[in-house]
Amino acid sequence: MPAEVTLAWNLIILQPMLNFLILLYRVTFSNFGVAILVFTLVIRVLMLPLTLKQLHASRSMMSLQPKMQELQKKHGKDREKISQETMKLYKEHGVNPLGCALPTLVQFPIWIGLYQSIIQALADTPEGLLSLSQHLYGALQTVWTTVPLNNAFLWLDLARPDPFYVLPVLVGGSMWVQQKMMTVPNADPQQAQMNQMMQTMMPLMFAFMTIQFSSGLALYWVMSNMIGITLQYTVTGWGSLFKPAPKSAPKPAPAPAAITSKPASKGGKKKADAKYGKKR
Amino acid sequence: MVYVGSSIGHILALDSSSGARKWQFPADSDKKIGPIYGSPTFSDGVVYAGSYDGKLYALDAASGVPKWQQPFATGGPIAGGVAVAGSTIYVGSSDGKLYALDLDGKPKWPPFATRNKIWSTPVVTEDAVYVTSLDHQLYAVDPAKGTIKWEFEAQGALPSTPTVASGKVLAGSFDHHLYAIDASTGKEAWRFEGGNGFWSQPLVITDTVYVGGLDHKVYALELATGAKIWEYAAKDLIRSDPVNVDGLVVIASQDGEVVGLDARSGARRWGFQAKGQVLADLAVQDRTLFVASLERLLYSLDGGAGTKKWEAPI
Repeated sequence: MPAEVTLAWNLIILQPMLNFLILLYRVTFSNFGVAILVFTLVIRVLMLPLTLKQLHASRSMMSLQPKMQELQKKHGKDREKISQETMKLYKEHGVNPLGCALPTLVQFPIWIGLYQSIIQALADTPEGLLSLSQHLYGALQTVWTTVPLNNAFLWLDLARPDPFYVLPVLVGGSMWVQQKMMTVPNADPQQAQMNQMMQTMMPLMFAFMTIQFSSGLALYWVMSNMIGITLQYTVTGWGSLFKPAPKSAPKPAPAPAAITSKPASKGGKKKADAKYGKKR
Repeated sequence: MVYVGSSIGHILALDSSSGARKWQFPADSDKKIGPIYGSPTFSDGVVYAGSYDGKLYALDAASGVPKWQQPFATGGPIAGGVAVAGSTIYVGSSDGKLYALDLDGKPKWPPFATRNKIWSTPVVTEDAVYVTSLDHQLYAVDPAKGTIKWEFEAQGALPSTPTVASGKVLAGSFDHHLYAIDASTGKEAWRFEGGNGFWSQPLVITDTVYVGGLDHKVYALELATGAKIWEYAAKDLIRSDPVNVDGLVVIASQDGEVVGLDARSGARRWGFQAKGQVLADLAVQDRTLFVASLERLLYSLDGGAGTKKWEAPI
C-alpha cells in the first residue's frame, strides 16, 4: 500500500477509533473487555442507518426471490430477457439492487478500522507498544498516560487466545445463527447446496481462527454477531433459522400462490414477505 | 568477541574483528529459545541473556555451553537486559518482578514485585538497584535485601532503562517526559517534555544528557536543570540507546538510519543506513560500533566515520 494511503487511512480511520477506544477504557474503569464491548456497540449504533438500509434492501430482495425464480423458469436460458424482466421487477417494487451492496461497502473500512484499533490497543509486545505510541493523540494526555492497557477480562488475557475455547464456540455459534437467519431459500439445488456449505464452513473457519487469535478480537466478533442477530431479527424476524435445511434439493420449490406473471399486488408482496418470516 | 541475541531466539558470539561466528546457542539451528530483546551481558567469562520465553540463560563466553543445569525461569517474558554487580545478577520480567540471583542462578531474595511489566534493564549502584516498571513507578531497591527504599510515580508508564549520574536518576516515560530524580530521596529534580514518549536510555557525557524520543528527535539537555541545548530531528522514532564514540553521540532510529552527531552542537557528522529496522541498543568497543537490525544482520561500523567494516547474519 502506498505510504500516502496508509497515512490517510491512519489519520481518518485508525487513529480516531483507536484513541476513542482507549478513552472508553478509561471510562469503563480500566476494563478492556468492557471497553471492547461498548466500542463495538457504539460503532454499530453509529452505523445503524446504513445497516438498516442494507437489511431493508435485503428483505425486499428476499421477498422478490420467488418471482425471480418464476422469471427464470419462464424464460429459460434467455439471460438477456431474464435480466430485463428482473430490472423491471425491481423497478415495479421500488427495489434498488445496489441497496444491499452500497451500505456494505461503506461499512467495510469501518470494520477494518475497528479490527485494527483493537489489535493496536492490545499492544502486548515492545513492538506493539512502539507502534501504538505513533498513533496516540499528543493533545490527549489521558490517552498516553493510560497505556499499556490491562488485558485481563474474566478468565481471559485479551491479548492471547481463550484457553478454555469458550469464545471459539460462541463466535462459530453466533455466526452460524446469523447466517442461517439471512439465508434465502433457493430452489436451485446447486445454489442451495452452496449456501448450506457456506453456512457451515464460514462459522467453522472463524471458530478456528478464534482458537489462534487474541481473545479481544473474538470478544468483538461475538458482540458484533449478537448485535447483527438482534438487528436481523428486528427487520426480518428469525428468517430461515428454524426452517430445516433440505436433505437434498432436487426439486424446485413450488411457487407461492401469490406469484403470478403479472405485477404483484400489494397483498401478493405481503404474502411473499410472510413466507420469509418478516416480523411485523 | 561480540555477543548478540537474535529476534528468532538465538544467542550468538561473533569475532568482533571479522564477524565470523564462534558459537550459537542453542547449538542446533533448528532449536530456538524465545526472541532476545535486551543486550546480552558479559561478566567474568559468562554471558547472561534474558529471553522472551521468560528464562534467563547463563552461557560460557568461550563455548556457549550453559553454565546452569536449567535456565532460571521467571513468570513472564523478559524484554530487558541483565545487570551483574559483584556476585549478584539482576533481571526484570514481564511478570512485574525484579529478581536477584547468585552466580549459580539461585534467588538471593524474594522477587521484588511491581504492579506491571518490567521491560527495562535494572541499574545497580552501591546504594540501590534502580528499576522502572510500566506501572508508572521508578523504584530504588536495597541491593542486599530486596526491600524498597523509595519510589517515584510518573504520569505514564516507564519503559526506559534509567541512567544514574551526578546523584540523579534519569528515566523516560510514555507520558512525554524525561524525569530527573534525586537518587537518594526519590524527589523530582526536573522534567523535560518532548513531543512523544521516551523509551531509550539517556546517555550522560560530563554535564549533558542525550536522549532519543519516540517523537523522532534526539535531545541534548543540561544535566543540572533539564534545559534544552539542542535537538536533532531523525526520520523515525528512536527506541535504541545512544552511545558515545569520542565526542560523537551515535544514535539509531527505527528506520535503520544510524547517525553520528557532534555532542556539543548536534551537527550531523555521518550517517549509515542499515537494512531493516533498528530497535536494539547499540554497542561500542574501541571506536567500533555494533548495530543489530531486524533483518537479522549485525553491522560493525567505524564509530568515527560511520563506514561499514563488516556485516554478518545473526
